Amino acid sequence: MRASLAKALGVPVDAILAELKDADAVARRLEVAEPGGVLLLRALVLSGGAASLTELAEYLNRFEAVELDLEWVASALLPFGCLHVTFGHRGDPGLMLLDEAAPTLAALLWPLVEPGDEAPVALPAGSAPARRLALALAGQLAHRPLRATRAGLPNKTSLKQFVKELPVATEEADQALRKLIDAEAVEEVDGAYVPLRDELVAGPASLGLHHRLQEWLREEGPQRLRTLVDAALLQVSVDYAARQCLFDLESHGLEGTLLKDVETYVRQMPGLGIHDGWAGLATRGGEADGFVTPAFDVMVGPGASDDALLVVAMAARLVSVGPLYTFHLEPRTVAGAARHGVGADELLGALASLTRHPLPDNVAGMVREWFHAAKVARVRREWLVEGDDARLAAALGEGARLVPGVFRALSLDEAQRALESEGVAIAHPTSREALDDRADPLPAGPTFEPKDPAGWVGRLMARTFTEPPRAVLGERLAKARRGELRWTSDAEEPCPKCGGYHGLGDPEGAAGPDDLYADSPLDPALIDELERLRQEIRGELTGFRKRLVPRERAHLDELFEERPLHLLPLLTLKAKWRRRALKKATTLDAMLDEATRLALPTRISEIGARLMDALVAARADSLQAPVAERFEALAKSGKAVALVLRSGSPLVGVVEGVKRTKGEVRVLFLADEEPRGRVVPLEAIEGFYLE
Amino acid sequence: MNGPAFVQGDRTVLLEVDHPAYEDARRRLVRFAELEKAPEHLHTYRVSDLALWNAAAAGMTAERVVDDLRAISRFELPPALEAEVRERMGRYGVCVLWDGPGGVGDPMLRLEVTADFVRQRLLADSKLAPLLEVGGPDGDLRLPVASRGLLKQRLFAMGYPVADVAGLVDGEPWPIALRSEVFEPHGYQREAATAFLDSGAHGVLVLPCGAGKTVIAMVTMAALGTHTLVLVSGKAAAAQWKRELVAKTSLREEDVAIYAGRDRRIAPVTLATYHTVARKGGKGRTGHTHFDALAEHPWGLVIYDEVHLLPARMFQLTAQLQARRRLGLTATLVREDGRAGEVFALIGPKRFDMPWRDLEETGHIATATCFEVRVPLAPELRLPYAEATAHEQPRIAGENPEKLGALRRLVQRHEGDRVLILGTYLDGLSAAAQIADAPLVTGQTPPAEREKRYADFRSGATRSLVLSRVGNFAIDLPEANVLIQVSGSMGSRQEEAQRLGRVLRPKPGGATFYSLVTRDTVEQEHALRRQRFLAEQGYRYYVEDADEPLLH
Repeated sequence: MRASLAKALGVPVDAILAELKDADAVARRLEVAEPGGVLLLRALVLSGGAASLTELAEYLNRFEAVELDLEWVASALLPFGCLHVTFGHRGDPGLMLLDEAAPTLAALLWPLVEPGDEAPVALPAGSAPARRLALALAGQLAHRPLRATRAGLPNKTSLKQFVKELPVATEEADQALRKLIDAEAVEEVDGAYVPLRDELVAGPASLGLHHRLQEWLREEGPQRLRTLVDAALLQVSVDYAARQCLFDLESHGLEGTLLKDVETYVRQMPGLGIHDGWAGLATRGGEADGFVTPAFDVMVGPGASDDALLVVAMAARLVSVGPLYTFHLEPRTVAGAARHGVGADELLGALASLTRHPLPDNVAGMVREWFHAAKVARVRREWLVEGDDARLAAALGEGARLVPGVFRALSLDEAQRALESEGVAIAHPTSREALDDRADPLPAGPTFEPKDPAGWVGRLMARTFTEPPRAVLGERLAKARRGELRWTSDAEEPCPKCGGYHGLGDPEGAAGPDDLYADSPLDPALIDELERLRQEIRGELTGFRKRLVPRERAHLDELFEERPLHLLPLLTLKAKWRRRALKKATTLDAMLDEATRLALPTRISEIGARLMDALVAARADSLQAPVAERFEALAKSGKAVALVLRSGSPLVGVVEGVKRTKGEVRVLFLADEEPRGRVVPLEAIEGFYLE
Repeated sequence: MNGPAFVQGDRTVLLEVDHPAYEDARRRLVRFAELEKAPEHLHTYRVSDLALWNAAAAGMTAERVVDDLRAISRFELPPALEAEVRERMGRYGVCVLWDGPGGVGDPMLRLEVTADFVRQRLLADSKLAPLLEVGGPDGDLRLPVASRGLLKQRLFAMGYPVADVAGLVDGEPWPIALRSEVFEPHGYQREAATAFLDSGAHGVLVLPCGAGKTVIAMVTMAALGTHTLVLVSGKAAAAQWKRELVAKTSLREEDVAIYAGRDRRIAPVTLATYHTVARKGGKGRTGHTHFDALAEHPWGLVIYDEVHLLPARMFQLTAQLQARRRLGLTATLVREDGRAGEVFALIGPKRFDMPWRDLEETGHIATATCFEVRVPLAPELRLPYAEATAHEQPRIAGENPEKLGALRRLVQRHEGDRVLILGTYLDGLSAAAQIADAPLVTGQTPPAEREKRYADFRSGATRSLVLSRVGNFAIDLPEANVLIQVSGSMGSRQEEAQRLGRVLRPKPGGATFYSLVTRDTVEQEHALRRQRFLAEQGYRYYVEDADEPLLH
């Protein structure tokens, strides 16, 4: 893409990229740009960087813009890194911004307002009604069942029953619950949904804010006003705990009906609040503005912390919704909370934190009795830190001490940081599991870029459908086959190679499987089969995903989208062997290693067999020479390959190198710490892939 | 907006007591909302249909209601609330009941219905259709006077209150004066009576036990000066009423009759029990011998004491008395059978209520502290309890001998106080009487002996008294300052309130209420309901283990 742009503009790639990032240069260019063009650029920013011309036209109409020759304008926007593309099933024409161009344009076109003196210090927790409702409903799952179907979706009858007994409108509750499920803040366990407390209160992202906003951007496009707020807020992909980001609605010319639309939308979004004309991330509360009565009624005020609201919701029946969320504590509901890991002290602490008056004695006494009667113990994982008592106390705090010399830490990362600050080193791990933990430090969370004195600078969220195609399976393959994601211009003749129109130059491809498929006229039935397999495998991965620690889930998702072949050792195993691989390791890479070790012909699953057949079929067309010859050539090149063996043999993992001896190939696997070869006959090699 | 009220979407209003604007907010709210709960810091009101109709009956408009809510609310009102209030209040006045052309004495009443679909429903109603006539130049509906109550019941069930502006029979006059040399009604008692009289003299007054509802009745009787029928919950209550009336008004002994099975004397003021009145028999108009006899008398006022206990079968009979002024008295409009709406329809709207704690703060009733004392089940009873039926288990738990030890400790703790011990199961009470060295009064105790024991307690000759369920109702023992409940009656909230009312007469040092509960039995579940009720009324409730008593 970059090469295409550079070629079209007649400047080197590096130069064009530098230009696109130069805010002053872009600003000068914007000043002289056509107003319609600027409007289009604004719309593109809102859409996350790409939109169809149809969507853009609707957006312009919304603002009563003069009808423009969009295609002409689009050409005029090339210097801004804006390309003319096609996408969608029908091959709709559209515009797309290069990644390098987007942040600068976003910062110039949709600058965040720096909160001045008139801005509230923070948006009160009560200004995020959607989040409060989500937490209250999630808490009810602790003592009121909501069953799931085998496919992992809410059972409709159960959902109806669940929402019927709640003091909220059915539709509202239904939507909120579905959002929670989509955001994976509630999880299906043994056929019923349970609230994942840590996910629910960790922050707006844990309620799926990022995820949801991304989805809405993709789905809705720029013509929906709510994306105004989306984009503005997304411009700060934040460290939420560190900064309060506020979006002054009126400064963006929103008024009247438009303002109402945005306000309505913001109120529906978990984590966002709106207060006094400011929209942004609502605080998570912590004020004691509620009540607890001796009649076991709990009134949670708008300032209560998220955690307190959730704990109460888990332990009490929701009675009414309003400025105060009112609940009623009952033995049954308290038992439900106990079953979901809430302790008596925890609940009493939550109650005490939210009430402005002392907790009634009878309530405290009865709550303890009910927990006692519930007969539930909580088992959880924590890290024990052993060492010099004084040093550990200084590092981790007195409150973390269990017994002298033994302290508790919530995470290895926390312990590491705290100990390092006191100059205390951590002893080497003594088990493979501990080694695995140390080998995979927690990745840094999203960070906020330093504030530019000229204004806040953020970055756009990653767009998902503009990356060069790299995946093999299913839907992207189908898109490539159907001619999506190609470059267009006013060129008349299609490319003889791929059928696209390359007025701006050839597409920049990756040396990967898609090249191979793009060259071959694939049977649509095969494409469908790959698509089906993709869905099935995705379904299988859902259960597998749950076993991973949260940071590994993102890794898995990335691999599945970007480089699914890495997962093939695991995917082709039968469930029993896959479980064995899962048991042995807590990290994805370790699981893959174990799966590779376990892979034998008799252990391949039905999906694995189908997958290999499909891959072989897809690959077979493009073979220009006997496999063995090409394979040897590639092996000499030193590039990593993955082998596809004859049907019936498992797909092996990433091969570091091969050695051919007397008609056999000894393959070495990439992840091995010591050579652990497997010998296969050359004739058994059906195909291969470059990684 | 920084008002003391939180207006919820379900029409409950939570009112913060400690807010500076609480009093003003409360005065506004009581006009169109019902007080449901009144714990210490936050009172709960409900803007119910009944309450809105009460307000409409008193002349309030929907706009005024919404304005008042807005004025007291801390946040914006829920979006749908305004429309709901308008719609509900708009129903009052759709059906208006007038006298017939002949005035109060006309045997027919005229029903004006302004909404066609209501009219159609009425004409299609299987019970009402035969009674309704369509007539007159205005096309109004007409019905016999005797069907007045039935009409109101049916319309209420349809969701439409009837504005009953038809006249009330004056009744035979009988002057009644209060004996000012004996007592002076409190301000709130006069206020309650005035609220009743000013609103058309039909309705219900809700005040806590011990607040002197009998006095309010007397004030009303004195104002109306007419023959009065007083319906009470039992014989003991009837006797109590008579004592009070003769002591505090100009009524003489012969002016007040207790209508009973054998003595069917009717006097200018007649007391009868619900049970007697509702007894079936005879060939009179309604097939209820005593009711038919009493209904013939020209009463100007009918008083329903403890109206929350009005037996369901009395509703039908009550419907026959619609032409009379009707006063309902109660400590709570909560009915376990959920028929509070029929009380509204047949006796009248609520005209006055006052939270218990307000009266406590002003010293009109005693400050009470409530304890629940947990007692383990005796080891020898564990197996029988486990094997017992649901019907038998309350008795086993109630008669748990382990309670006697706790009772002994409590009696010793309150040596010098005036202690009432109440219970349900007679065997346990006999043992309790021995422990406390106190006389026992049950339903089997002859009336004369019963009165003597009450008199001894009042005078201080005995400092403790053990009572069966007779002690639940209308026994005037104002000196008692400690009440120990050794067994309850299946978690009835009314019973809990009634019993507590025995010790709520104002007195220095306040009152203490103990409830002995056998741990891990059905008694504990029932105790939770009762605890909740008292807590809703604003009483502090402590839970104490018999082996680890709290200091208080």
